[in-house]
Amino acid sequence: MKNDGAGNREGPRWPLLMPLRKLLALADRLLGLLTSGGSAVGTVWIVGLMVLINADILGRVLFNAPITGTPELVTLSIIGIVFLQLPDAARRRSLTRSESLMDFVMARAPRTAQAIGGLYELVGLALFGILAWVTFPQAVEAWVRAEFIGNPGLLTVPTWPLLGLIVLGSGLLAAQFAANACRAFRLALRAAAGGDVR
Amino acid sequence: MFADFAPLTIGFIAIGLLLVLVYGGLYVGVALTAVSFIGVVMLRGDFGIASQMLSIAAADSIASYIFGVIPLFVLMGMLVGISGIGEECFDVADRMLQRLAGGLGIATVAANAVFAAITGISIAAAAVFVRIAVPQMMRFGYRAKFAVGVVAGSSVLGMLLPPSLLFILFGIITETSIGDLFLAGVLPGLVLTAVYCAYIMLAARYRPGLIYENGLVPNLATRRMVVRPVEVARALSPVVLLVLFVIGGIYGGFFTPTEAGAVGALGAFIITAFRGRLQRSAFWKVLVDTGQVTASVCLLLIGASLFSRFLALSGLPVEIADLFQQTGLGLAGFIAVYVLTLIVLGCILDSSSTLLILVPIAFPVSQSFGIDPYWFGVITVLTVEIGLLTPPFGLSVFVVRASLASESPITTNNIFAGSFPFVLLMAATLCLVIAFPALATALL
Repeated sequence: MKNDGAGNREGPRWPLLMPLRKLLALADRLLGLLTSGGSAVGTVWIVGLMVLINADILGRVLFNAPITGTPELVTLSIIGIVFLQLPDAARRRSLTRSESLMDFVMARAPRTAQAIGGLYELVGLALFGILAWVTFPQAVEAWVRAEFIGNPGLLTVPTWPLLGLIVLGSGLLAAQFAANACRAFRLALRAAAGGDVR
Repeated sequence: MFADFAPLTIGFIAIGLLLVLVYGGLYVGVALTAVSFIGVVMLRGDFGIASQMLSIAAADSIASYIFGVIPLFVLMGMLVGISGIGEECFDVADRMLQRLAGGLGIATVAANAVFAAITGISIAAAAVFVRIAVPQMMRFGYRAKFAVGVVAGSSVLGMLLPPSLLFILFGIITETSIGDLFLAGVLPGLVLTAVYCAYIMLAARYRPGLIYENGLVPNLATRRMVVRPVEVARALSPVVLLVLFVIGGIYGGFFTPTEAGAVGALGAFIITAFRGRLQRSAFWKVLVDTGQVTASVCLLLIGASLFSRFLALSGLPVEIADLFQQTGLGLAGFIAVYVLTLIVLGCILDSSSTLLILVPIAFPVSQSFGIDPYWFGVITVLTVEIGLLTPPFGLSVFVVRASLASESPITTNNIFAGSFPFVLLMAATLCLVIAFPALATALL
């Protein structure tokens, strides 16, 4: 599944594109680092969520002192856990989809299958690109106006990290969909040159 | 700009497009989001409104306290899966039923039912019981087909008996009480367990060929394993503790479902560590798997929530309800069509996707018939579970195959064939629940 960036085995077909390919390969490796880093943070965050809620319950039951702001932190956590894991899930292609028809097409017309798969990635790119694009100004505004959730006077949690995580996560997800699309289209093209398509 | 399209036409086209895209292999969460997005653009003729709705669906729909319940219950289920509790329950059940014809089959069902009470994901159960129950059954002359069939068949109990990821998803998307949904699943889950056990007992007596190789029941009188009460207590105590804290905590009013999930996950963590099953690498794998399940399920939920909003905007659910009323099909016709659609869609998709595509369409319709939402939830989950066992996308069947040794001669088709009797038994139980709504609502 690794993106090596280089086109085919018999040397570059379009030598002039080599620098571009190297750049893309570098970008892809960087993206890989970011997605797996995000996933690791999201993974550890699950433990954090568990500890936070249990600490809140213990505080409430034993010392009659719950941790104020727990619901707000849980809200923030779920956004963090989901949006930091999604790019990595897209990279591993573990997002839910029906494979029966695609497997059928892949067995008979791998070029077509790769091209359709590439189009699907573009749909994801468009949607999450829009999401990042729309949410970004909201995150900036939340930062500037210091918006918050929670009860003023008790405990408040600023909104900007929440929106920022959505921007970051959906931006990375869009980038990952773009990388997946590049790979699919290159494989579809490579078939024309008689290479291995899968 | 698309004002010449009637909203209903747009609604119907969107549903058609969604099914085509999903079958065509587009990521289900992306398909739901894309179709709803395009649908809203067409309904309102405004790109900006659709973008804002997308942003709201991403932030508001999952940025709520209740969503914390998903990673926590998944984590609890994954931890319980590696804790060895399932193995011990099966062992005890086997000892207790050692002289009964079909006893190992019943032990598998019973251990699954107990296991189901502390885990909400079917795949965890399927993976555990393949490793322990299948070899034991083969040793005692059971047919391989039956052995894998009973494991796949009884793994669905995990989703029916609380806690259950599918009930959690249903509760979130319909804004009904997750605690009450859990409760509604208890009686149908117990009925299904009893139906499975009855089938195995009757088959072992009257049609042993269904269960035993060449129909030969081995001489079981030679089995003389001792059942010590202390072992039974040891096997059941972690289960009882977890059920007490998690389910008891919800109904005692001590915990919200999210808190119950956190307590359950911590409890499962402590039990697994205490039993020496929690190596660092195993724990990390559990966490990574939990994260992946959470992420893909929540992407589905974002899409499904946007889809619900779009459908409400199009007015389609009201129109569908009217259609059933006018054609005289009424409630019975609606339930029949709904169940069939769930089964058909379940044939190409996993259970969470099936549920999250169809419930946004069907739930508002069901409410205009004024039926009990919890009864509707049980019908939904039970039907979706049938899809776990039917080809070509029977997830439990694939998990069973993947958990067998790769050199095992048992094929995916054998497992589908072996679990077919259990599909029929589930269908029978589904009919019972439809005929007697009290099975779902009696405990509420």
